Order: sequence, then C-alpha cells, then structure tokens
Amino acid sequence: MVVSVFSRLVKWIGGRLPLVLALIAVIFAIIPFRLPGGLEMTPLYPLMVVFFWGNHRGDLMTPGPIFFTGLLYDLLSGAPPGLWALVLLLCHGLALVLRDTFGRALHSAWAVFAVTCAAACFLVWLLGSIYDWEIKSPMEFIVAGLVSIALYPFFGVAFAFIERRVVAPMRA
Amino acid sequence: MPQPKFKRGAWKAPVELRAHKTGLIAFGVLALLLLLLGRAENSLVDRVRTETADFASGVIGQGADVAEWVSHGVEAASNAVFLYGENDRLRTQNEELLAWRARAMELERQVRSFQSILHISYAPIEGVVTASVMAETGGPFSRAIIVKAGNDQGVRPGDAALDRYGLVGRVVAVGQTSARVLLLTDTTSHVPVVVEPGGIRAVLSGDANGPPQLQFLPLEAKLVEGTAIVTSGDGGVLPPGLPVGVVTLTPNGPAARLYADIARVEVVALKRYEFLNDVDMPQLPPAQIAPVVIPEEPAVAANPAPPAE
Repeated sequence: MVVSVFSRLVKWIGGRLPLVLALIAVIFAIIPFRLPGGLEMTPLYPLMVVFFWGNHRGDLMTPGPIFFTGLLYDLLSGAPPGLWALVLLLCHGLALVLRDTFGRALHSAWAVFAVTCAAACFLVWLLGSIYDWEIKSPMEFIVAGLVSIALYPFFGVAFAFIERRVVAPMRA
Repeated sequence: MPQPKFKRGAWKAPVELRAHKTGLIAFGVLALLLLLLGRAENSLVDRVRTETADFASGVIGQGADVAEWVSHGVEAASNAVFLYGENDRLRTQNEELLAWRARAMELERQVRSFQSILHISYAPIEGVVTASVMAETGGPFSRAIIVKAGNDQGVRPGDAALDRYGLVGRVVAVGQTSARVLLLTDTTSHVPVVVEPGGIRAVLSGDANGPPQLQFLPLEAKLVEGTAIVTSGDGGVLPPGLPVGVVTLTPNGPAARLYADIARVEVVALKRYEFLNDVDMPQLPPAQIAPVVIPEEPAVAANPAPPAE
C-alpha cells in the first residue's frame, strides 16, 4: 500500500517536471544575463521548453501547462497578458505538425525549432504591434530569435537527457 | 491523360492535437479574452503583475544570484584572457577620472558658494533605499526593472530611481517585497526636464527605437549638443535638479544621452522626496524655502558628459 502510494507520488512528480522546467525557464527569461563587453542575452527559454516537451512528451506538456507558462511569461516580462500564452499554444500546434512532417531526428528538430521560433517572433511582433497600435521595432525579436535558435541544440540535448534519465524512469 | 491521385483524408493531425483539441481551443480563447481584458483594464493588469512579481520575488532573487554567478565566471575567464588590454584601458580611464575629480571638486566649491549666497534649500530627501535589480522587462513591450525592495523597505510609487551616474526612472508599482521601476527609455515614460543653461523646459519621452526624445520644447529654443539636462520638478513627478543626461541632436530631433547606464543597471538608489507643499511650511524660515534660481553662470553648460565606462 505504502509502496503503491509512493510510486504514484513519484509518477505524479515526474509528470510535473516539464511544467517546473517551463516555469524556471520563464524566471531565467526575465533575469538579465550579461556577457563581457556589455552584451546581454535574452533567449526565449520558455519557447524552447514548450517546444521540446510538447514534441517529445505531448502527454505531459498539454495546453494547460503551456497556457500557464505563457501567462506567467506575460505577467513578468511586461508583455500584454495572454500574448505569449496564445503564441505558445499556436506554436505548439505548428511544431507538432512540422514534427510529423519532418521527423524527430536532432537536425530536423533543430530546423523545425528554427521555423517555430521565427513564427513565434513574427506573431509576437504582429500581435504586439496591433495591441499597442504602433509598429514595434523588429530588431529585438530578430536578435532574441537568432540567439534562441543558436542555443537550442544545447538545451535540446539537456532536455533529452532529463527525459531519458529522469522523467521516463519516474513515469515508468 | 492520367489524373494526379489525391488521397482524400490522407493528412492526419498529430495525435497530440487530436487528443487535446478541446483544451487547445479553450485555452486559446481564454488567452484571446485576456488580451482584450488587458487592453480594457490596464490598472487591474498592473496590479496582477505586481502581485505576481512579489509572489515570485524569492525565486527570481535566487535565479538572479545564479545568473550573476555564471556571468561573473564568464567575465573572470574573459578578463584572464584579455588582462593586458584591460590594464591599458583602466590606466587611460584612471587618468580621465582624475581629471574629472579635479573638475568635480571645482564645481563643488562653486555650488557651495552659490548655496551660501542664495540660501537654497533643496527638497528634503526623506529616505534612500538601495535595491538590487532582480529582473528586467527590457523587451519591446515594456522597459522596466523589478527591484528587490518594496513596501516593507518603505518604497512608494513615484520614488526616483538613480544609478551611480544619474536618473534611471521612477517607481510605478510597489509590492510587499518588490517594486517595478519604469525606465526613462519606456515609451510611456514622460519626465519634465530642464535644459541648462537658459532653463529651457521640455518633456523627456521614452522612444522604442532610440534615445529618449526631448518634446514640447519652446518654438524659439535652440539646443546645443552636450548641454546638461536635469529634472525640472514640474508637475510634482520628480524633484528638481536630478541629473538626467546631455543633449544629443539626432535626425529625429533633440534627444538625451542619459548619464545612467540603463542597459547595465544592477543596483538603484530609490529616493523619496517630500515636495515643499507637503512640508509643514510655518516651521521653516522663509529664506529656506526660496525657489531654486538657476544662475546665469555658464559653468553647467560647459559641463561635458561623463566619460564612457
């Protein structure tokens, strides 16, 4: 009985790990990380997390956690509330369609992420410009998108490791 | 002629989409409704933002410590590589700073003598709270920072936020342990300023695509590149005399090159001022509440920008 409760608890925690990672990603997305020379890096960490876990563990990264991640990102980053929530949901759908078309191999996953990231940046720019009724400078979106695409393989490998060694055994 | 074969219904939506179709639609609609609500109820959204930042301040603080630790590690490694060049740069900077020290001492003497002549009483500073920057919302939507001080530390909306060089912005929302500072570069930031010499009044407005712009200038105003900009105190937004920056002439019009290093602000001093109309006037002798008169002396105009860091 105790063993059964414990194993169910472990399974439950394993199921929440992707959401916890997404929330950590939101926190790190608003923390300034400065490099020597005054450069500042603000990759779209939440998008990376939602993309990976949505594509690999769609049973754990469902619309609810994606919406919650996006909403927290909106509230903390100063974006209009609901903007990133909507964009993450749309990009989750796009990423799944592209995944089924191009496959899950690392190189194709990177290409699919690049397309998804470009779509996310464009959507946020477009919806944000409509929301504030002024054309936003696209430069920040382009930089954030390019940095995210460049960094994704590292995060993808790390997430794959966590999925294989932590989440899968906990969910078994 | 052979007809191309299109298999009706060959494409199938991904299994996750089919499984969570209702959830996707429901949360998508909810997000859209929130977008509309946010447009209509801005104050409510601001309150929710502050509460959320307050709630998450502990975790954000921990994350900021980790990011700082990593950042310092990268910087230390980089410094070790570029030590020789860095030494050279610091030597030059030191020479520049020594020249500035002499200039500052000279100006300080002048200010003291003006104060003694004019009996100037600046708005009293009630308290200074130093707070570290926990998070930045430096995206295209809002240029603000969240600092690690709030109601508990005595921070109030409207407090001026300064870094070691000059004005950074002002506090717009205060939670229990955190506060949101709207930066001068935010498009919704409008700060009354005065350009010296001559006391030309203007409003410094944030610009999404460049330095903050000087707006609502008098028609006959002629600005000179490099002249100093300080807060005017008009409208009781901020107290007068806070250093803001210097005039820079851009193709879009006159703008301000800020003294504050807004892109790299790590710690701010939050200063609370009591304006003179809030002070118990009868207790002060008339000479002490005389308005601040900006002398005709061109010393401030000749004051160049501080050296780049």
